[in-house]
Amino acid sequence: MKQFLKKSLLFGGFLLVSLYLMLFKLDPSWVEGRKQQYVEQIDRNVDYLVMGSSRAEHCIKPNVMDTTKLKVFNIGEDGHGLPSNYLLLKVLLEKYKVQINHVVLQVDEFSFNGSNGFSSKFRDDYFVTDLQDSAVYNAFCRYRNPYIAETVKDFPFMANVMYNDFYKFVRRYPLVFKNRIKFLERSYQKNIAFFGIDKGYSPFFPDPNVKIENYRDTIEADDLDYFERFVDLCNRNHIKLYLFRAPILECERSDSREFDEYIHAFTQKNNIPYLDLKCDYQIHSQYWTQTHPADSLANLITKDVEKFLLKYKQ
Amino acid sequence: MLFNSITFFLFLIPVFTLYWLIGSGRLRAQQALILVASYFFYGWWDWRFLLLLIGSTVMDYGFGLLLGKESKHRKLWLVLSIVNNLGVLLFFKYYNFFIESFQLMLKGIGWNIHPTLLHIALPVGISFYTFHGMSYVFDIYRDKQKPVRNFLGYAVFVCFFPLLVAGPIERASHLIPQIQAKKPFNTAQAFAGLRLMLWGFFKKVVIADTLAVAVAPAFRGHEHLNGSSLVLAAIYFSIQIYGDFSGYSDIALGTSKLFGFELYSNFRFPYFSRNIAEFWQRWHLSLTGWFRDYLYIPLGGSKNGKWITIRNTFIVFLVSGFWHGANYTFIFWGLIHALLFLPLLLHNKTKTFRNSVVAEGKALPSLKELFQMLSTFLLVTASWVFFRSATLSDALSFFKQIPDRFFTKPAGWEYLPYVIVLLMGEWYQRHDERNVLQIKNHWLRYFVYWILCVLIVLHFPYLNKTQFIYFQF
Repeated sequence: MKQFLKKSLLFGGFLLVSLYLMLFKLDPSWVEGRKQQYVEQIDRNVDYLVMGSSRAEHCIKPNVMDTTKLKVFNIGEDGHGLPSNYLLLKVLLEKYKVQINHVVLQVDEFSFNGSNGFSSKFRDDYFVTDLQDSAVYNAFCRYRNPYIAETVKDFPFMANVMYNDFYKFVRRYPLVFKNRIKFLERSYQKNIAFFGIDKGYSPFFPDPNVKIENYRDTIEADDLDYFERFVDLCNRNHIKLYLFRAPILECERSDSREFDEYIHAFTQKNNIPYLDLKCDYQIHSQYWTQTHPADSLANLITKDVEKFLLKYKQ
Repeated sequence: MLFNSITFFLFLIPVFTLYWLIGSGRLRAQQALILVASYFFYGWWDWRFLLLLIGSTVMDYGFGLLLGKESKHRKLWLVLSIVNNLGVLLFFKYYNFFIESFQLMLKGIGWNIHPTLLHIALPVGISFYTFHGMSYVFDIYRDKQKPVRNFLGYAVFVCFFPLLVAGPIERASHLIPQIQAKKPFNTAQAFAGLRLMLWGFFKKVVIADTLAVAVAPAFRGHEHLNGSSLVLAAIYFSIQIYGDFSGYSDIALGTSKLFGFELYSNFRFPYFSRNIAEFWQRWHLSLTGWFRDYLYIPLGGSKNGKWITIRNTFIVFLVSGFWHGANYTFIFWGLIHALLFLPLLLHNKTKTFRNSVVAEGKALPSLKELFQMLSTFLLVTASWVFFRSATLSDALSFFKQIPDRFFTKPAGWEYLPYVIVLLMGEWYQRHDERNVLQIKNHWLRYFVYWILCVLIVLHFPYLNKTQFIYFQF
């Protein structure tokens, strides 16, 4: 028994030390590094910060806009729902003290029905290194796991183990199915070139034929709460908020009605500019999935967003 | 509780420590600890199903005692026990299937009925623990096993946590003596257990879960893929299901070794089989053995002429398919294997490769062996398409799509290194499935352990749970 324990503990100890050196010392917290990039970029030259899920990420391409008039930075990301967006903005403003005057938030029924909130797989929890913030900590305990929250809070090195790029690279490999449709290959290469600058990868999963299913016709209390907190955070920091709804295929779905009624009433009541492109661009061949436009369509959508922002700028 | 979760490690370490602190001198206390730990392990999913498990254990224990007595009612007790076990299994696993099939049949003759369907989750491991219980009562009835008087010992046999949810399906005559014997700590056995666990985790977490990412979209949207991508996806699924299930079995065997138990092997490198018969001598051995002993042989086995043997073989394969789930795809999968088995049966070649290992004593197989292995693998892979597809028509449509752009570049080829690494590792170890990762050079051995650990750590599903495929059966 003694020999078993001795050898096991020795090997376990060596494994831990080597992992620590590999994942922490050699690459001191890539999560933090990625966020630092954002902070530097925003501080340097950004007036408009785009936030939201993959629909924000793929619909709005800042480099297509007239950059002399609009300085836009898009940090929309696959699976980022309202809780993540709120926490990310809060951390950027309060911990990193970024100066931002305008925020464009992409919203739709998927952001409000809990499906994306904090549960999307393989996504970046940028705020995993900000667990000292009680809002972040509480959200982490609620949506991830209190043990993980405690572990990462005490041992930040674990964030690098859990969110290692290798894992995500492997898990995001469905991208290889991009060559199912010819134009996706070209778009993919372009997008990689574009997104690669800021994010290193692009989580495309092309299948416009897979229908959206299992979404509930509801506005989740959690999402509503985080949305209100997001609006309040913008108000407190004197940030002008814009809401944007990306186009999706088969847009006349009954389960989006509750959201549409709510958001129209809310934006009118609070005087928040809202660009609703829900049913624009119903061109099947121009989508990668039911909810994600291909590159060429994203150019057109970006131009619409540009016009919308310029209108309010004047 | 899933093996591939942090929770499992947090559970295993204290249970292991406590078990050996109690010591083999206090057998009852060790048994009690295993029982409580196993109930905790199982209840972690849903404590309500724990009641079903305990109920099933009590019933079979009782039937065992009744069958152990000289009585003219022995046959009745056996029938009642079978009705009880199969009743639970049929109710939870097959009720909806039978009702829907019945409804469809009536609809065909113009009757529309609207029966009530069950909307409850299938209790995890039900197919495995009911088979445990059934083997116990069968063996007592056939005087191959004496009834266990000690309830604690019997309960541990049914619900020993490493094998509770997906096997291996143990026999009372093999496991109960181990449960009732004092076992001092065996260092070599414990290390062998850790090595098996390491290899099992590698197969599950690194290989199977990664390939699952490529397999899922291909089976979901096969109509949009070119033929070469579909063939590759089918091959990936073959490797995925093997990595998943044999990975689970290795972890189960390894964990049991840590507690001093030796379970049956469930896999013996099945993809190095030279024909279908050899494949079935290497794939899911505990289930194959169960069906052989409690279905094939009672039906007459191979002792009543060719036609009866063929009939019995088909029955076993069809039942085996149906055991996997209430879906025609599984039955069809069983049928395909029966058909593939048939030529070997007719030419008396089912035992050609029994107890032999391919390329024995050689580093590489001969061309003939390579051809035999490849053809067997491809046949098995084709059958897996039915197993993996949601419906029979999906599976047929999958095959129809294969000629489409077959000679174009396949999607997902980037995952091939995972397949190659696994097959190379398995080939190197193909002589002994219970003694994996035995590398003579000390430093190289530890380096391999380290590499495997790092890969597991990097692939581990910390934030997203990944199930084992066989948990649904």
